[in-house]
Amino acid sequence: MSRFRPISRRTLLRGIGASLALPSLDMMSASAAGSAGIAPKRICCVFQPNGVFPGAWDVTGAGSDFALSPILSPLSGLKSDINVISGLDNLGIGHVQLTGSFLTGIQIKAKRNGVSLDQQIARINGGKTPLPSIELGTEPPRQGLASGEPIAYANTVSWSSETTRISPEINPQVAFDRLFRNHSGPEALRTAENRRSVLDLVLDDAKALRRRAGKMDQEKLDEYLESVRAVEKRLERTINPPEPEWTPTTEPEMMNRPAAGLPRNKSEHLKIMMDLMVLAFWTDTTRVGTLMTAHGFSRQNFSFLDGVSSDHHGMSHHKNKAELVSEYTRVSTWYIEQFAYLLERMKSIPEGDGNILENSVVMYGSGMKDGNGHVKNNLPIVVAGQGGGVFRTGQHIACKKGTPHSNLLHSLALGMGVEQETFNGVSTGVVDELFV
Amino acid sequence: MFVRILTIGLVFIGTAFSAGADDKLFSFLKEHCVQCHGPEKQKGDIRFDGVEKDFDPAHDEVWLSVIEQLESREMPPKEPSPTEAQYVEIIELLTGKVNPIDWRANPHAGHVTLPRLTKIEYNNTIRDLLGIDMQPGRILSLDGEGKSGFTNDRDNLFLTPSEMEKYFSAAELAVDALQSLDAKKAERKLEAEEMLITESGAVVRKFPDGSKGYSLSVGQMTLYESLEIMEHGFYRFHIRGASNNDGDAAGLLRVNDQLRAEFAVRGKGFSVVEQDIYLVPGIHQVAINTKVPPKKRLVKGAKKVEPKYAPLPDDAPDLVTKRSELNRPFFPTEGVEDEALLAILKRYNANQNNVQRAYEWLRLHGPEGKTREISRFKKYVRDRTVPAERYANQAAELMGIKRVEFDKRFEKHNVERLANRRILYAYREVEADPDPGFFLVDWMEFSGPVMPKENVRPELAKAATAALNSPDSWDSWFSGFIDRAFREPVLDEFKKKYRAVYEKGVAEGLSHPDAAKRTVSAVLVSPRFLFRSEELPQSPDEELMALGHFQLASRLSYFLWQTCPDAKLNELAAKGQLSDPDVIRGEVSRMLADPKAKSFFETFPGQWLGFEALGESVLPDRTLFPGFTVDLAEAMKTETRLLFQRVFQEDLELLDLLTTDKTYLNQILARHYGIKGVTGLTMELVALSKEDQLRRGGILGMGSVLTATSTPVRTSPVLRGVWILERLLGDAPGEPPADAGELPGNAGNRGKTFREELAIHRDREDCAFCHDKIDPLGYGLEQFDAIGQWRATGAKGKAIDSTGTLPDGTSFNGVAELREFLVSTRRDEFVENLSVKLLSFALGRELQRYDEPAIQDIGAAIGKENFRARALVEEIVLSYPFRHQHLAAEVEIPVATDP
Repeated sequence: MSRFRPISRRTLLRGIGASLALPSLDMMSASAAGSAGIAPKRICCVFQPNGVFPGAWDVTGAGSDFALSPILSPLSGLKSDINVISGLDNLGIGHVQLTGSFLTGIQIKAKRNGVSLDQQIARINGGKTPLPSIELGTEPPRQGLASGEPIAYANTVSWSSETTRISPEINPQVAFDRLFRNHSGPEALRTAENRRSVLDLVLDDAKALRRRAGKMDQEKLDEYLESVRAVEKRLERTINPPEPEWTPTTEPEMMNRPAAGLPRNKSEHLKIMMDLMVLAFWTDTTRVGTLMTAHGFSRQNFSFLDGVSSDHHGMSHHKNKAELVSEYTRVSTWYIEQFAYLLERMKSIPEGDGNILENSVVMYGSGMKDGNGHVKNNLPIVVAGQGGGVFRTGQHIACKKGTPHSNLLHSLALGMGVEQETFNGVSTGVVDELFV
Repeated sequence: MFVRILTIGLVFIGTAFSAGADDKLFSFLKEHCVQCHGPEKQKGDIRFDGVEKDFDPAHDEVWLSVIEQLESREMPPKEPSPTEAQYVEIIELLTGKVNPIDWRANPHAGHVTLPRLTKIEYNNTIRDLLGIDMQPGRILSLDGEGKSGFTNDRDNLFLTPSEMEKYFSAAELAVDALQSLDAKKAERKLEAEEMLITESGAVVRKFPDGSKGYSLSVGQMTLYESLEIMEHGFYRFHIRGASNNDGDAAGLLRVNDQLRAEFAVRGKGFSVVEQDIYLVPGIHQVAINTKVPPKKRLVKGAKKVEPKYAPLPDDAPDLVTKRSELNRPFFPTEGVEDEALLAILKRYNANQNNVQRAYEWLRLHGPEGKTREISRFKKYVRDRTVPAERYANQAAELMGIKRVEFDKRFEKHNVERLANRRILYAYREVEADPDPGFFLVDWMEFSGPVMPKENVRPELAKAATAALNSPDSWDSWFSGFIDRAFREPVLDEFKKKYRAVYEKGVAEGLSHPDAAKRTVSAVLVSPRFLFRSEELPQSPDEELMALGHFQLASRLSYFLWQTCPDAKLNELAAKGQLSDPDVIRGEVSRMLADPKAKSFFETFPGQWLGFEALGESVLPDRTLFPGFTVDLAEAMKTETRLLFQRVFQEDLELLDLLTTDKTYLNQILARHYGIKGVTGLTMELVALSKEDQLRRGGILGMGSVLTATSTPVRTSPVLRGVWILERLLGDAPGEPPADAGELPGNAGNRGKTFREELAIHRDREDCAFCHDKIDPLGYGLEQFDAIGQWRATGAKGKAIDSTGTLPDGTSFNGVAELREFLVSTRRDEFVENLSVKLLSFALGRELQRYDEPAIQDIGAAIGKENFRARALVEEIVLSYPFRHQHLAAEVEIPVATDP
């Protein structure tokens, strides 16, 4: 069977301008659906905290003729599957805001953010799989304030509404259960029916309270209402599971249910979360995932690496001192090594006439460039995978100076089938070079 | 006319302004703002030129916005940037002008956002509703800290879909646990020798009493068994165990790799210890191993640990000779003419020199030196003192005085030298406590489900179980349950709606237990349970509300107990007696003494002082500080919490938090502090010696805060200084600029002292502005290392410099003088800040300017009460903001307009 090639959005966007409402094209949405034997498209966004040392990250050359930098060297075997993107500017100040904006493109103001890229895609795409999305991480939430914002915000990059953060699951066993156990089987069905039987009552109750509440308190009750409704949708799916749209073309290698508790070893922990992510894609349990490799204000101690003696946040304020820069870069390289594992794993699993990486897009990056000075311009970003034939790879895309980071988010949303005039009201266009 | 309240934290600002203040503002505007907001450009349609003519900023939104921009340092965006001092000065000046509302004349209660229960409150409330402490909320996510600095900050408590799912699971778990109390009990006994032991070479021991089992003598050596559990509930585990020596030992029991219980035994005699553990159905991996004695703990994965015993210097014998001459005590011989006496005294003094040599060897080895060497030289001390005794007797006789008198004269001449000897001789006694031993196991058994023994109210749990399992008592039980769960009497028509879930379930063919489970789950996921509804205005127009009695009962209860009100509080609420100050005072005293107050003491001090994450996510570098264990961290945190508990329960002065002469120690922490004579792993109240009180009396000398304010690899005078300013005195210095940088781990080790390295940044004026206030305070604590141990030398053996001089010239040297400085000159700031924090914790919101009168009133009232701790709590729960709620979140306050 010949592979269906969707129309490039880039062609459409050229000359139209971002302010025009784009007509919805059936052919476009078909590409997102994964019907008729076409593998579904997945997106995974991988966040790395604390930025990188620019001199060790920046690549030389442009277009397909570019050389990887020291930090990116672990990706050498995957060069044709990735794009290194430079020139994108973030919005906000400090760790909290620059983490919050990583997938929303906008600055947290008065506790409000925008809906993040992954959640925008999950909204239109999530109904097709047992879970609309999965959010994974490795570090527990932290406390305190930074630049006046609760550090707890930097715990996640996923926001399902302006005010609702989704905390990543850091416990491998709980994540495993959520993905592969909690939504099937007779016990799950009985529980779902029990829960469904009380929903109307508690929703009514919340609405009654809401009528008498002031504005701020109404927001809290809205969170409740929204959460209960989301639970309702999930229950519905358990009780009346939709026909699977996609059957894996290779038998997924089920992993053992991970032990309870958190792995002590950071590499091991991250690897298990990556394996869960890949398995979730493979089994079509979800098509949307985010992975916080660490908290947005991570003080993870990396003394388990040779030549590293301090914590990640501390070394990121390196003041250009050689010894700190060297530690900082060693840690950044370690993160890319883990990222390379994820990509290689995705690439190793055949799917249709390609592999999972070809049918996915994986965005990797940090919300700031250099941790020293919280530099928000020219973010370090890698976008891997062809997104089911939508994206072109193997290039260094040097965006024009001052290009909003949200343009990339807009592009990825578009490639995944989310059409909108602008991304959270701030993008000014798309990254043309990304599209086939 | 209305003004919007500045939503910035409570800052006390003097009202007096110098005449030149306005001019300062004008020239600031001219220098930094007019370029973009003036005749040439009017960015944002704002211009500041000509503002001098009719300057009336009092109620102007523009000036509020200017303050916000300056506070975030967003303006001015271009050079020349104002200095930090200028920023602070202009912000203060404008704030005073823009917001001159008299909050006493216009009292404002503030608005506490609809409070979702915190994770702690959820677990406690379930415990007190159903009678068993099963902690079903352990699956909930942790609550982050809000702007108030506490995890009960209601603005910061969110609800998400996945969290909502967890509430469903937690509710079901709670019901399952109760229903299974009626289930058939399972029992199993496991002889240790029949369990799997992980170390292949381990042999079964025959213990002195004839029993058999294993000695878990290696940290990783694990006794293992898998257990199948059929019913939810608590299971009672018994283990027969002993220590392999005279000290304490403990076995750790893990279920599915999660630590679930610690079985502590003391001494070699076997005893049976028990623990109730909550388990869910399924096959569980149960593993027991020895809690590794702290001293012998070897850290896995640590790089090569520096040898603990520094080699003695090459010229040690020479040093000993020289120092003995210098340090030996002697009996003065000037003017002694009797030759026989002179000869004896010379021999006596020569002998003192000989004894001193042994002391000097002790000094060289140090208190942490090899035990064997310390024992050896202490034996020398004792042996060599024998001749001195003989000479002293002879001399006394020749002098015609009593031996006691001779000793007195000797001591009078050598006060310091002898004191010094005593310190040296004490070295071994630190080692003399019995070390914790290894855990020996004879057998283990478990049975259940059982009614747990701790934190349980059996009558409550039994009633719940009965109602959940049989329809007989269901109706009456449920009626009371829903009142308690919603924390106020619930109208019958409303109860009906919840009962309908049950009736519908039965109609659908569910059994009674299944229908009851649904219904109770419905209550436990209801917004009326998960949120503490505090506002029930009579009409939507109402703006201010005095809280009702049931709401006050809830506020009180969630403040001091972090759980729902008990029967007594509900009774007082029903009788309308909670408006009576005497009743309130009585309740405060009762509540603080109640075991449920433990939750308050476990939460408030750690979150206020910032040591809660110690030993969890905050850990010192394991290579540099191999002695820092989770047990030590736990002991540190407990020490501080227990001090709070004692101060509040015994109604001591608040300043005792800084100056206490008694503290709580166990063997692990006492050893860490170098304090002798504390044995056992239980924390005990210990009277501190004068010297120890100067070091350790009060929170400034506690391992908890000293470690939490250090980096993983070294001390940080900056962090400690900021901690004193911010956490103790409520004077937050603000965020450093993003390019401020951080000194690396090996700072202070690269040729310059740490102080010299740190001094560099103070050359920059914008750094110095804050750091001149911060760093000196932190230096005062330099005598403590990064894990709170007392130290004499820093990197490369340089002496510790713990002197600090503040910008006003006040200087101090070391913790004792720093403490004295704080107590004598910063008492009011300390007490006021504690009031602010405690009120903020009590309310669950950050305080605002309008809370200022309440804080002033509280301060005045407790000042009259000698700053008693309980008086503070009483004044807080009697305060205006505690007893009122403003209903609109966005606050608009009428102010008088000019006629």
